[in-house]
Amino acid sequence: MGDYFIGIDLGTTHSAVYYSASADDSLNLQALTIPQLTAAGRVDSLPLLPSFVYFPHGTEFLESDLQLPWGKVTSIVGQLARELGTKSSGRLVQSAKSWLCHSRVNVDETILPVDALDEVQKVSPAIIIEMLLLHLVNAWSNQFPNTPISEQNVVITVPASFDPAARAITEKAAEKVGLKTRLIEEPLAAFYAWLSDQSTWTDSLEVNEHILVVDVGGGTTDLSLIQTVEKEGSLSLERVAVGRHILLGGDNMDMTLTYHLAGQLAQKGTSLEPWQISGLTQASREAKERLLSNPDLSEATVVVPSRGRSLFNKSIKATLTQKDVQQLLIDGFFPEVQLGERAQNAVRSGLSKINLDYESDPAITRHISEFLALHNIKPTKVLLNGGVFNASLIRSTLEERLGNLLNGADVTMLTPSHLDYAVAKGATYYAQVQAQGGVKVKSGLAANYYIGVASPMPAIPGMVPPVDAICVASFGLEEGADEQMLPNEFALVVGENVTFRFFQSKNNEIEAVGKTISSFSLGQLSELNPLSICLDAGHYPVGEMVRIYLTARVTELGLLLLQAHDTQSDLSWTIEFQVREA
Amino acid sequence: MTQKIKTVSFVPRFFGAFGQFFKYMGSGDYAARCQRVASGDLLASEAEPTVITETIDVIREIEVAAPTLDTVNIDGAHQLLQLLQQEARFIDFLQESIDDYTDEDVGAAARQIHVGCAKVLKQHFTIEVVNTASESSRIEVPSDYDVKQIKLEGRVEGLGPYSGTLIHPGWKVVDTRLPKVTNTDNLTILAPAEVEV
Repeated sequence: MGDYFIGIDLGTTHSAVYYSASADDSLNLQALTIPQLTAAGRVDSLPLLPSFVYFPHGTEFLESDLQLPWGKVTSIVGQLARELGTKSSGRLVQSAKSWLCHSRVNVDETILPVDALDEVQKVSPAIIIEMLLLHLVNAWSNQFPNTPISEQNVVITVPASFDPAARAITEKAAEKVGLKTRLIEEPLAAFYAWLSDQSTWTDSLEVNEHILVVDVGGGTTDLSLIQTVEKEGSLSLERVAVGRHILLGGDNMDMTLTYHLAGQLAQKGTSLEPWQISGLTQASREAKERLLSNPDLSEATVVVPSRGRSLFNKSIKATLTQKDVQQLLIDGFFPEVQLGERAQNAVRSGLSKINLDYESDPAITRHISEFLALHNIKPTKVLLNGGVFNASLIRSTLEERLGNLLNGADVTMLTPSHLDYAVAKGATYYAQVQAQGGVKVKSGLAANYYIGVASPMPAIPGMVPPVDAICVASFGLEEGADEQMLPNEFALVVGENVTFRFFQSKNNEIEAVGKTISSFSLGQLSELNPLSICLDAGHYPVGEMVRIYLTARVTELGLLLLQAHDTQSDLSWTIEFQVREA
Repeated sequence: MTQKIKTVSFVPRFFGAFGQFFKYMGSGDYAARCQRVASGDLLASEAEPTVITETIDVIREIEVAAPTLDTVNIDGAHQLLQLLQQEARFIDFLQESIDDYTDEDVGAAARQIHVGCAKVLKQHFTIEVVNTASESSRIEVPSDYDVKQIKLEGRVEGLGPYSGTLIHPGWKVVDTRLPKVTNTDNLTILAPAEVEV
């Protein structure tokens, strides 16, 4: 066991690291400051590392300008990267994490930056994740040279909505930079952070209560439900449902205000240049914070100074009113909704550039209502996480909306640990709880998982054999639990390239392992990325159909692993969710 | 170190004796020394040195150099200006004349500059008040007060302790976290010229 517990919040827009010493009896969770470039040749230690990577032009910096405490770098990570990205195009990668869950892009495909200049070598999302993690590892080694991070207990957070493949990729990237990690879902980590603040958590919760965790980050919204259950006479906790991957967050709110103001300016005949948009976003964020923190203020002036040296000449001025903010943010993102109302899908344009699948319905309350209706659960407690909720108006609005949504039922807001750092803090606490004991939240698989199996049928021209989905792992399957074996035998093609199809249930009703969903009702499942591999034939002739039985288990690290075992010999094949094909 | 005396051979001895005769005759001091040698005294270079160990207490009066005027490290000043320009466009603001602009314009700009400057201050320094008592309250100042921390004003007389009204609680830096730099040569460039290509 290492000397420290380390929690890494690998965020879409920011990353943070917390740690605690294992020798400490008292709970002492501390933030690690992360050295990063803030200007050419200037290194500053900051509590957050913006998750941005910038590939500079050959002449942009002197060699000595890119010196970090642990050596020279060729690509820039952190604050300077973000800043350079607002001024130069085609060299910045952001939101790399969201690509791990992309349905049409393989994580090893070299596609980033999406708008790369010809001379910029494109890299894959997985490499970017590795670069970000490596920076954090170096920051650790720099501060604690005698306690290598590879020997410590490390926990990395992932969105609850990450599918098994995205989790496996995160795990693999961590392994490549020398980390032995466990993964924890972000909303769950925020909940652990809350737990770490409570001296006796059982005072605040009762049996059979549901706690809704709403985690609104910069770019994503993540929902989870945690239930308190009675187990052997004492209270214990279970994570019972997670929401889907929603690419909608605090940045959308700032963008909304920016476009509102840009529209207002356009009416007056001022058209904005790209650099002014980023300046306007920054300025309107500040104005928003002022207006939201002070409801009596009726308006705030937003000024975007020119890029030249005069602050006043050619500056652009707009006014953001309290009414605008309330209408755009509150009515736009937190409208009044009825239970069961579903997120709206806008009509999509037939062609679009390859980019992230941004959410088309900005209403967070509607996503919450859809989520609660899907699982048919009425929470009584709510825990919020994310910087968005620093604004008391947004907090109180969400509380009110939830109350109405649940027909006036009493909803208690739990006091969050820290809106910005709770995830990293909670991850550290989780690492400690894993090693030293404490209250754990039982959290198994977040959905039922199915594998596609072709059913034999007489050949019909132009018709592919239908594929049924068979449940291989059911909701709530826990890490380290016994292997689950499917009751039927199957035929597996070895030595040849074959494709596996995977499905995931949309709700949290536990399905029995081996249960078949016929090809006609596949619509009720969501399909995951198919896997195309060639399994080693062993002593069998290539293309042989081997009789096998399937087992599924969740590894110690929380990854779902499928194994096919030969009924005739000791051969077995692992079908991983790790390799993904576009 | 002792040194052995080398013997002189006959011929130089023979001629040298004439010289010594006149030298002996001419110098009473020399003659006296020769007598001492003749009576068996050793030369200092021949004698074993005797080591005398003696511990003595030295009370030294250190002369304190009179305070001289010195320049503080200018790199720190340049870096602070860089930070203020980067975050708050501080230099832009001060280098421009604000006479031609309305209070409203200046006010709006001041807000942004305030946000930026406050960020720099908060990020790189921890600043606290020197005296935690509330402003305008009566406080006691002991006679041996620290003149760096407290400035007495008004009718200051006598030996103290003094009592007075706290006009301003003062500020002090308790922690400084300035960024590290690889090279201090180019700190005079507060902001590079920007060229969009």
